[in-house]
Amino acid sequence: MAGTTPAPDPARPEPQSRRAGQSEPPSGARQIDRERADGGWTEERAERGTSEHATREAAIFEAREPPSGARQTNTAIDAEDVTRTYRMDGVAVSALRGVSLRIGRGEFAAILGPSGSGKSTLMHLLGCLDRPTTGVLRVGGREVSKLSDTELAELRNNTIGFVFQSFHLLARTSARENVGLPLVYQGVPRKERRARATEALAAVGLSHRLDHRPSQLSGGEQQRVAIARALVGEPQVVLADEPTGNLDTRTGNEVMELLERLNAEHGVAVVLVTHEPDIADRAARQIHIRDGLIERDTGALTGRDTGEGT
Amino acid sequence: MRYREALRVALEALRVNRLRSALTMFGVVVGVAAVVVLVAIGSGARNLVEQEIEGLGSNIVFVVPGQFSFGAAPTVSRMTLEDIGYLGRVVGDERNIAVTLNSGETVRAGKSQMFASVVGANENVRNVFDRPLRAGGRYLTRTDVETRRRVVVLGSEVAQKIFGDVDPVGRQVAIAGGARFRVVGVFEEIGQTFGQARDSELHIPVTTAQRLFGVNHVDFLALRASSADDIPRLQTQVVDALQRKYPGEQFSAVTQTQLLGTIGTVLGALTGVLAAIAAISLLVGGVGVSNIMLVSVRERTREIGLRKALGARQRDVVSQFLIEAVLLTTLGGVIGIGLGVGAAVAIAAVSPVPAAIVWWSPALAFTVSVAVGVFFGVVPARRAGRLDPVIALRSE
Repeated sequence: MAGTTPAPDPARPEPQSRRAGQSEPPSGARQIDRERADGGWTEERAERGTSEHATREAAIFEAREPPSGARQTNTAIDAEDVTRTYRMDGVAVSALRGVSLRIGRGEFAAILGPSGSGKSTLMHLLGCLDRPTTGVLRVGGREVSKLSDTELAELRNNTIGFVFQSFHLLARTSARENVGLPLVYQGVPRKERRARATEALAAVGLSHRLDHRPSQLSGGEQQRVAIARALVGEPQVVLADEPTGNLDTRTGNEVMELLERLNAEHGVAVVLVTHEPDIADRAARQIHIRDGLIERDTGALTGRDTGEGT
Repeated sequence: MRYREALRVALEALRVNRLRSALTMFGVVVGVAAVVVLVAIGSGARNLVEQEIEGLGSNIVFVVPGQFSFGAAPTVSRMTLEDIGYLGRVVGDERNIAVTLNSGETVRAGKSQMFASVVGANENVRNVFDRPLRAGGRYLTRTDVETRRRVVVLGSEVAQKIFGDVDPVGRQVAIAGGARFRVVGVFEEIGQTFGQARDSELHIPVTTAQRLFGVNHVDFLALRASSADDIPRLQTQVVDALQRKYPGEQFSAVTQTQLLGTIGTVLGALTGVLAAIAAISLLVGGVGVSNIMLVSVRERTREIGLRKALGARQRDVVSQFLIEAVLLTTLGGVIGIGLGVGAAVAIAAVSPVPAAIVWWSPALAFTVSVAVGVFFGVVPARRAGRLDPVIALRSE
């Protein structure tokens, strides 16, 4: 069958562009390191706004998208006054009471909040696992409320990568097959899945663990497999829900470094959900959630007022 | 492509839960094997009976008292020997009328003894039913019948069992505890007819038999028609004549074709009933599959949630579980067919029960087991497909 070889295919610009993206990492990573060493990364980046940084991202994403693609904005996720109300035993419970925020492409943001603050609900909405009760939520340029379950599944498949606290790897399944799982639902042929999964595992430094099963891997390695799985489908956003929650500090740091590196190298936006300030501080932007509202947002990239400073 | 993946995942899931899969499959295996074996036995019996009836020879009309049907209680015959002469005058030639009176009796000669079917026959039985004799003997004659001679013609099996390799003609056998009969002839081997071992019969004059058994009726009459075209006329004539003679009694005159039809219908219905009973066990097996699939869906809630989060659509999840259910029943079906065919062949080989595999029974069993998988897999698969990924991911 055609397409089983990972050879360049004019109908599929992604592989080439991915390679183009990868050719940049050294400088990007260095840049971020330097910025962090300066200690003024967040401010600097926020000041620069859409200038140099965003231009680089735009260049990458332009190459990633088909020329005719409708999504040409710099915004990966755009929420406007989003609420989510659950009905529990006939009682309406408001988990989110009106949240507006934008996540730009290539951004690294942390959503912070105590348990019960609504951050999980927000993450489920951002990840298209759920639909808002009211408000407008656009993910990858598509309005979530207007999509069917099937379209939502396809949107998750193409746009979102998930990293979970408890890894959620399929037991008795090799690392490579776990990583290739999102590609199954994209209809990617098996041979190509294997090739791309191998590549993704190499990117997280697990080339020597391709055929290991989750039970044969350490916690840190399992989370790295999960990160490879989140990246393999070339999403716009990786949503990481307490990715270090089940790991010790050192391993957690390694996972964070990996996420930072991938954010820089691949230009993929990373949204981190955590209740640990240490972890959240590593992100360029912190979004504090309390009682279903955004309490504080350190950097609305697009400059639109998202409740900053309230 | 996705279906191949789903098939692979399903195979893996079955492999991981090997014991459970095997036990679940067991119900389907037993059901399918039972259907295949019972249908094989049913059709084997039918084939056999049909062959035997065909072996009776054509153009024969059997006259029996009462309404002819299988399963009806046999009616005690009121027909007597005089009816040969009576019917002979009606149909024109009494040489084509055979009568028999049957009873199971012990037969002894020297130290050898066996239980055999003793047939009181008139001299026409051999011609009507076309029973060849071994050289060196003779059949019963009209004189034997008229003078109630104690002579006997042995079936080949009786001859073998009682006399071994010795030629029995001219020797004596004791029938029914004492009465001695002289052997005048031996039948050629003919095998079974009508479920009766014709080779273990002994024919004695019907008059002698009546005295021996203490009765004065005959069990049934058989007439040979000169041609097939003559049969309908013969049937009405005979029944009318007998009903005139025995007012209020019923008689039936049936042909080989009618016997075939009736027996075929009866055995066909019997096969159907057996298959239906076996199908119930298949149904129960299907419920088992459904049950286990529901357990499997519950157990794998997190996996389903994960797959959905990674982009599996509802129909991807549904097809994954449906394929798993169908795989389970199809595999069970194939094993069941194998066992069923094997058992049928074994039964046919080692027991007198005939068993014939008809092509449609494994095909039907296979189709049904696939259908059972689809039917009983739909509910669990749809439940899996509808799971909310948020809730599914949260479950521990």
